[in-house]
Amino acid sequence: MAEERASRTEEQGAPSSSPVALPSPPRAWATLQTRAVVARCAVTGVVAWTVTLGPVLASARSPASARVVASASLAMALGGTLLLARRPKLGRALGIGAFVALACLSWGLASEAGVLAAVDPVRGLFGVVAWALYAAAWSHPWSVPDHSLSAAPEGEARGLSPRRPAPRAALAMGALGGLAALTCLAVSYLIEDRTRALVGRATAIVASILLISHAAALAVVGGRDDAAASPERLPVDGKVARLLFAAAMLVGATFALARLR
Amino acid sequence: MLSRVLVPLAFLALATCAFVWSLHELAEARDVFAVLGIAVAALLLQAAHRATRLLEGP
Repeated sequence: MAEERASRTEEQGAPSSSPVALPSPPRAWATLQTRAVVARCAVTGVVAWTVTLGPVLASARSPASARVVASASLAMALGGTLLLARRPKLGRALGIGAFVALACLSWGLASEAGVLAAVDPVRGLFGVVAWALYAAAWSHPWSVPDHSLSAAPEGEARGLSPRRPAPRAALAMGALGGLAALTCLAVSYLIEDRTRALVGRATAIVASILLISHAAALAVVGGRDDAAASPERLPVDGKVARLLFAAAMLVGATFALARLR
Repeated sequence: MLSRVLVPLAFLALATCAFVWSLHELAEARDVFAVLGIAVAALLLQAAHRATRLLEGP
């Protein structure tokens, strides 16, 4: 019994306690991957700094302390990326902790002089995107070279692996739910009258949430392993029939009303 | 299994059509029909929910 369970666990791809010896990649390839990671972190950090802290440095109104701190934050971002390959912990502390802390301090110092209030909304939106890219570039495990990831113990770097891939039918049902929700949202933007537009968009948002949640529930049920084993009977009972009858009556009343008008 | 999943999926598709139609009626300033369409969609969603529960089994 225990052997059978163990073999089943192995088949399902569950992590085992014994370390797995993985072949190390060629040195040149590993170096290239490490440099790509460093470049990714450096570029996104510089972009986020340029978009959001550039105005602090460029504005004539910003105080000298804000400029100094903004420059120091850029140094932290670049220094952190340079240290990432040799001393990852220190690199992450500088590239994430010190960089973000100094950036916030710089904004705080500059906001007293009204520098941030003068930043236009489009630049602010770009700033949000730039910081999101920075966060994605530095987030674990992307900021760790792939060869280091493959050498790390299972569960510590890769996280839990899925027991099985999602069934295609379930994915299709989820996608259809998303498409239906998007259609409702798109149609709500055709309403021109302001009051009705507000009601229409609120209705469309509620409808989208309902459609997506129902489609997700259906996808979960349809993608179950034991679904095929359940009895072959259509999921229609008295309550479903009554609901359908009520809906049909309402549709009939709607058509009758349309004819009267 | 697929044929049985299609039942609540069809209810969901009809509910989507009812929602879209009611939003279109709202855009055309026919508020009564919009409300009726939302009511029909709500009933169809209830039917889809019940059918999904029946698929889940006991």
